[in-house]
Amino acid sequence: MLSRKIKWVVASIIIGGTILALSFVNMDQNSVYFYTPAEAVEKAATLSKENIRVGGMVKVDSVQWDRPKLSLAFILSDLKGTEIHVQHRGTPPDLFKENAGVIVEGSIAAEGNSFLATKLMVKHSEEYRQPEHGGTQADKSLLTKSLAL
Amino acid sequence: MNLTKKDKKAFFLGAGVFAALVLVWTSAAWLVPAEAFQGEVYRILYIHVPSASCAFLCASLLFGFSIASLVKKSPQAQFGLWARASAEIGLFFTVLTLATGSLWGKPTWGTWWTWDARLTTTFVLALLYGAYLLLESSMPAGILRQKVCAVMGVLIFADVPIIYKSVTWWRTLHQPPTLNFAGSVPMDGPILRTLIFSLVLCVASCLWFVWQRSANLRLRLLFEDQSFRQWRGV
Repeated sequence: MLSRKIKWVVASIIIGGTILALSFVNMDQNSVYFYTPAEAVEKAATLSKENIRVGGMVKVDSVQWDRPKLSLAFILSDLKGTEIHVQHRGTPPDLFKENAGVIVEGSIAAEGNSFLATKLMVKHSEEYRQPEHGGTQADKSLLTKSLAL
Repeated sequence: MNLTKKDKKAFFLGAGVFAALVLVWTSAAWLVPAEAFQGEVYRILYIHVPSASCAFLCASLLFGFSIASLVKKSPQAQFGLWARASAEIGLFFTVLTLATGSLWGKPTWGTWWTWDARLTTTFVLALLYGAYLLLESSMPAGILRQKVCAVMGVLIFADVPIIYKSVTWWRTLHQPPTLNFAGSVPMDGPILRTLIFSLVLCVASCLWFVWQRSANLRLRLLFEDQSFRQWRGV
């Protein structure tokens, strides 16, 4: 019979090790929840065969919404010069607007310049303000940080 | 029905906490201003965030009672009862967190659910709580059950820091925590104050639930024990 102390040490090593191992497994790029526009464009040739998510900002003055056709087109930007033309069919979420954070799910063209989205999600930051701040989130840095831009 | 002094105290304490909670949620629904970006829908925050905190609190309680059951060779049966009560209330608040989060996600994110790190690890917490209750129900009462469940209780608690840190360790759709321990809190005064009030009262109601449920479980154990003795003719 092992002593109680040794059992405790072994148990803590197993639990701590599992937590560490799990966090490293998920650090793997293959299981990343979304790519940044720059990453997606760079690896577009290989990623074009998969269903992926890309996160970024909706570029100002780029949104084209054809209501009868339910067809949406906009430019997904990383605010550093990388831009992807996104096509989506369906009504966008209420909070979808210019300068909002957005995550698109679908497939990227092998050239990396365009993206066909099957799902469109709006990503907002942890900022909560009273209505006098207007209809946008004031501190863009919180959003860009959490979009890894 | 004869209520003891202790029962009455518990009843009025609970009634007071719930009345205050209803008051805060009522003001959160009408008096507190809307949010600049999200509009009215953000108000679900006042249930969602306190629920998540209570789910974490229950895991911490479960952890404490589990350790207490593990360190002693023949632990008091009370720790096992308190642990089970914590797991039950923890499951309730985890499911409430998932449900309110989903209801909030549809109008804001545009989806009921997505398998990002925050949502997935929270879902795992609900599964773990459920597994704990199944395990506890499937074993006969006694020290062995208390020890086995205590090991599981410690494991469940390990998920809490992972859930909390998930939004900073990995890229997620869910935003990072607004209430942080360092730096400025990006939340305006009236919203923050209401959130803290609802958080404190929700924690109080959570503790009341755990307390009452463990008392309830103790009674059940007593009855089961007595009926067993009668049946055996002891």
